Amino acid sequence: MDTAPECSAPVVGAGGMPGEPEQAVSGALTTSRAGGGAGARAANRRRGLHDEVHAVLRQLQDILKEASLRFTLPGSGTEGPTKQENFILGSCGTDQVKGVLTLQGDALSQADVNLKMPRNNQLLHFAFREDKQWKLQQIQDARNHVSQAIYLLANREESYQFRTGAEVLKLMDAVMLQLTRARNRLTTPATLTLPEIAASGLTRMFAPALPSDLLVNVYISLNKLCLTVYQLHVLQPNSTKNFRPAGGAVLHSPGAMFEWGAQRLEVSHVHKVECVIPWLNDALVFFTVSLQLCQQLKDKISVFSSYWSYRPF
Amino acid sequence: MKMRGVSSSEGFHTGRSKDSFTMRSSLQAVALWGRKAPPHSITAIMITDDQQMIVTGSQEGQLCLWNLSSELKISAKELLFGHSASVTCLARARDFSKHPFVVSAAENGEMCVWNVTNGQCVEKATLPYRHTAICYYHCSFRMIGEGWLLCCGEYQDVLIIDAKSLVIIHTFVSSQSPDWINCMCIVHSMRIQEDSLLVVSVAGELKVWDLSSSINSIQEKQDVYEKESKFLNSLNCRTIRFCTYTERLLLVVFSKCWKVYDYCDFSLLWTEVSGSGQFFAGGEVLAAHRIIIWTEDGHSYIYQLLNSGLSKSIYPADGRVLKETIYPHLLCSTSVQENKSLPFVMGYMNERKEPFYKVLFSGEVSGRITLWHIPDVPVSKFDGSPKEIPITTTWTLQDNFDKHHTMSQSIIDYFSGFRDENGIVVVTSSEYVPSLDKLICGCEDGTIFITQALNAAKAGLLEGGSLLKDSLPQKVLKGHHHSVTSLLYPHGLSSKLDQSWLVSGDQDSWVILWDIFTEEILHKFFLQAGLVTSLLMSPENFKLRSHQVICCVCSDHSVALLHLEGRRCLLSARKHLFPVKMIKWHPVENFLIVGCADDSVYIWEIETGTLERHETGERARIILNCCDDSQLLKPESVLPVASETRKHKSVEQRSPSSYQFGPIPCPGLQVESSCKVADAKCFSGPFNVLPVKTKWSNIGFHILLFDLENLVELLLPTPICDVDPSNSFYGSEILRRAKSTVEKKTLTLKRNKTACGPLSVEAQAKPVSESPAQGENTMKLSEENDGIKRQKKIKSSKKMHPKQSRKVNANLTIDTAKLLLSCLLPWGVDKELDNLCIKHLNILKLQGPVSLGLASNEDHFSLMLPGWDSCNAEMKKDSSKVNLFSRKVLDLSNKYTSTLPNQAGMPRRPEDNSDSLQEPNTIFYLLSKLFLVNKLVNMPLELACGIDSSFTMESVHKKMKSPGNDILNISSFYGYLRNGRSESHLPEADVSLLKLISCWKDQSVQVTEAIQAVLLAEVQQHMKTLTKTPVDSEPVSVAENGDYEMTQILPKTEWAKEPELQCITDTLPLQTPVSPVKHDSNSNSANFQDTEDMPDRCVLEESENSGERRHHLWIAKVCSCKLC
Repeated sequence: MDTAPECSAPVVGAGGMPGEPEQAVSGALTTSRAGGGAGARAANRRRGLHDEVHAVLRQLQDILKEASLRFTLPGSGTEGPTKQENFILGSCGTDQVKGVLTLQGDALSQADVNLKMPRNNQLLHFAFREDKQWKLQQIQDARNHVSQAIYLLANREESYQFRTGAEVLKLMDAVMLQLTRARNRLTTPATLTLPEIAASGLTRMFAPALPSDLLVNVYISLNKLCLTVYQLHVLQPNSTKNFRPAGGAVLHSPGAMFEWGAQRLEVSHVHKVECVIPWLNDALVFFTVSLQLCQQLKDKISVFSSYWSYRPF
Repeated sequence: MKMRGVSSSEGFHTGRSKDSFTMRSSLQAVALWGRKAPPHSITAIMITDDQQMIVTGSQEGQLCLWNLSSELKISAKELLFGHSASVTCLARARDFSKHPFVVSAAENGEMCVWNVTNGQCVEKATLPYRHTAICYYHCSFRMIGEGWLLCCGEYQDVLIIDAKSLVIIHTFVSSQSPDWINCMCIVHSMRIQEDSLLVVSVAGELKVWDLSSSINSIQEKQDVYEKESKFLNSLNCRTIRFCTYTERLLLVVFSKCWKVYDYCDFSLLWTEVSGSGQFFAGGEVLAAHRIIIWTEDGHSYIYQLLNSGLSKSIYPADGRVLKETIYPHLLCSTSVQENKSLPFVMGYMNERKEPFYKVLFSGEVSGRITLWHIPDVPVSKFDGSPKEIPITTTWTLQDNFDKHHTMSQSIIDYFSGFRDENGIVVVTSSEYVPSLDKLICGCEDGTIFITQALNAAKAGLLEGGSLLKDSLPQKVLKGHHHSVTSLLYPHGLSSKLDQSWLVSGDQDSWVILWDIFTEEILHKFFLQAGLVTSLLMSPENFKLRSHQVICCVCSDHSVALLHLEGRRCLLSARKHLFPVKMIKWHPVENFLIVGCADDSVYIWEIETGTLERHETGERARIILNCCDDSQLLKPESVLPVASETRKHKSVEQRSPSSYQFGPIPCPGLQVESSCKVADAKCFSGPFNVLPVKTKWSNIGFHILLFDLENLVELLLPTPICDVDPSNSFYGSEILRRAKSTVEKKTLTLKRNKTACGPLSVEAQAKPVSESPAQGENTMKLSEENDGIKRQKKIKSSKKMHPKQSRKVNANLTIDTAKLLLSCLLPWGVDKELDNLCIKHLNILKLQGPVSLGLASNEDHFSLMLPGWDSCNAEMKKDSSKVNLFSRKVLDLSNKYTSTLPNQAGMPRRPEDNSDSLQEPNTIFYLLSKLFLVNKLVNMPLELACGIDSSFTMESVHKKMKSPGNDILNISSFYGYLRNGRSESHLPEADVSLLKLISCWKDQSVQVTEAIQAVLLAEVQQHMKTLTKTPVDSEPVSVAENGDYEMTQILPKTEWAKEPELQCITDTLPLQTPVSPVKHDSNSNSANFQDTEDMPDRCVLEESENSGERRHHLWIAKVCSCKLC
């Protein structure tokens, strides 16, 4: 795909030296104007670009299909229940919190959290209720964005003739939008306020209900599955501390305060444990690669002004 | 679409900066479209319930309204601007017979409700959700409010949004496997007397919610879970439809198959798989057991669902309920012509009532709309093979442009005089320089034209303007060999830079620095980086060796910094993998911070040219956010999507993960705030040209902007200062006020930091009467100053500007005013009137109907398309060249005339009938009238009512009016004009007119209609008096000479016919009443100054819906000042 069949001038690649785009551009310009001999060349070039565009589209589809396989789409060929993966979450520093989370597609099907209380070394253990699953919405969204991108590409089959360069650009923009969103869903976890975490359904997922002085949050950050446990203590109404509710954050720090029910609470300890999900890593790489492919195709097309303009090519 | 020289990537409204291209209410816009239609890649299409209009949404972000005639002929009417990203879906937003409202949603979460009969935006909101489908639901007897918009899209489950306020009411939640919803439909079942919502998720799960019975729970914010759900075992659901005829069948269309289910138990009755390479896109139930299915590539198939008959005879052995099975029989099909472009968006409109048709419609990426009239009873051919239903109509925007090419003038068409081939010059970039009134156009062949913008506009619009073509002074800069892709006029951004400089970049990576006065090339830079997509300038606070630098962004994603004074290239940053979407400057550290479309950030050290840092993800975001002051958002043709994602992301961040739909702060999108570019050329002066370039293409057009308010202002004070020094108190009073308003304006522009800084300083330095200072705003006024300054400063510009006398400016202003009147007058309605106008107002006739713009708020507005006039069905067929905005105008105009007091036409003037003298007065009078009407119509409704309450006060005031009060009256009139708000001293005659106009408002008369109606009536009146004047010119004596100036300025007072005024002005020297007046006017002006701020603020807040509260405050204010 690096060799543009018809264009002898090096294509302005991503960040590369542009060589002599002058030539390519002027060539494209003249062909768009003149007829005769140039017409034949234009036709050739058109065919070349046509092949090239479809080659890239095919490649993109392959990559994205590979990426979507990582997300194990339910219902797409894989019969039976989606397989379960266990992840042991820990942090390099302390071992106060340990978690074993079981991921089934985009849902957490089981969770075991062990917490060693710092004060009395008491060991607490919580697990998910058997009947419930917790959807990791980031994964679901990323997966759905990828399938949207695949769908966009799917109905431009080999036989489809792009009429203008702008049409390709628009398609690429649409695909890139989906891919960027997919990637961003994984790279940017939601910033939640503490009351939001407290109100979330996740706290109600545990079988021995979570004690009121604990908050739990699970999210994806890049390629990692993260579990945060917040230990809270109640602020006395006559406390001299200046009460200031904390805003939204991915990870709140000790000292963050919030109001829940009639109580004012403060975070005393924060424990964060994480574990790399290998297939998320793959997916992220696939996203990056396909985004670059898209961009390269766009750059290539933009060089040809006949493509770039609205004229049919 | 993107604007050249504009801060942001997308579009119109984010362009330039919030303040500058907000279509202020006093702005009148006229589009010069050119011969090529702007691209409109249809992504959503619908036909309104009355079958008179097609609405399409485009990938470019605009909506287009197409007129659909009773013979199913299509004609584009207007383009609606407002969305800054691709439109994802359209839907009805009200009961259409009551309110013709349509809701549109865009890729970036923007939602907008439009009134499709007049193109106004009724409501807008930006939510952190991207919708792909919207259904309107209203249940009159159980629901409070205007109904719900049920939305689904790239989020879990179904959102319920209030159709009126666009606020999220609640959500329908799934108890099991919540997922994105692909499509939905509302089922009204007569049989079970319950409305249900049927949805299919992306994973292929069918879910059913009770609608009508859960209205209460929803209104009480209780969770409502699905009643039933079933896994359909197919992906990519496109449509789900319920057969209302049998109340039995359910049609579900997936991209690779369509299925028919039994609604009672969701058992599968039939599956039809698509052929190879074919993707189904949607379907609809035509009648009992008859369905239509369409595909992504524009085909459609009509099937009869036949009963297999088997079920009737064979009872299932396992004792289950009897199951009928069905199979489809293909009756008819439709297809499109060659040249199709994917994907098609299609729809079907099923109307059984007589005047309506059954219509299948499709829109393509290429912008083409195709209609098929589906027969009531589709049948196959005799031999049983499917019949092809022919295309009924097909139309594109370009067809409109071709058909009405007289109307699609472009601002540079007259350049064709210089061309031989094809006669068309494609303008690839353009820039308007307000301070010189020059339009600079870079062309495809590398030439750059510089021309007088106003004249160019006249040549393009007016009849006989063609005469102007040859005489137009213009310059041609030749130096580029390829298409000129970007232009920058540095002086427009920073007054410290040389006024003669122009920087242009071409496709070939050359950047040329020109002297536009001598037409010399000062320097050529070769960047070796591909097409120069945009040229930007560093903000004022960023200096390198005491000079600002030019930043060139190229198509190979590199950025080059040019030092103009040093004539050298400082830095060439070439590491970026993705298009550059943002440039920021770090003045202290001397860093250039480049934000790319993939959300990575590159930090370059300018002095050494080394890459200091490269960051991605969260860090990158932090870096971009922390240097907020010094930034330039860069426009690029490819980047809209990218910056859009950024928007979306920023939105997502804020949303507390989507499983919670609590009160989400409406995200003030980052991009907007970051648009406060070093953009000193915000709208200024009464006339401006706005070049608009479209996304994904090089087709651009221009919008002429007229600032009515500014025009009136400029026309008013000039004669006072010049002619009547004795009355200087008066003059300065006005100036002072002008200044205060302007200052206030500057305040509102404060966001535009760079814009106001130096100017206000200059302003203070000058004596008040001279200090039109306000530089930016009352620019023309200050031109004199400017001219001197310039001469001192810039030697090279001498040739160009020998002098900028006030006279020249006045002429320019008058010309602008005339052009505006030309655009607004209903030419062709009354031939006689036309001639009179041409003769007496000395204005030229339009070549054809003009494409007017209509703003509904700061960033939503509509532009008429060439051929809009043929859309008014009631118009006579032959009246193709009538510039009548609508039929209504004539009625309105008649009503207006009848309310006019007898005889009270124009200001009576010294009737020596010297056109040269009276013409400006008349024009001023007309414009001030228009401005008044404009203000009144644009006023929030509550304020308009407020006028009524103030009427009562007025009589009181009338009584205590002292002779001297008329001056006060004037100033109040002036203030009135300016603020569009009823002051205490309303001339009696106005009251009825005011009432009439505010009554128009209730009848939802558009501003343009009102303006034209009033203009027509006034002109008719005026012409009537003109024809009379030769007879009764005697009575007015020379004695009125003293009154002369007054009449000039006080047309309104005159017109109101106050007897006192007559005698006073005749007998007393004007100075005498000064002392009493002074007192009065002082107190009055004090009031002014308090209140003056108000209207503008009101206007601002109109959009924020806080009208009511504000309104009360406001009224209180008005009342209190009346009593004092």
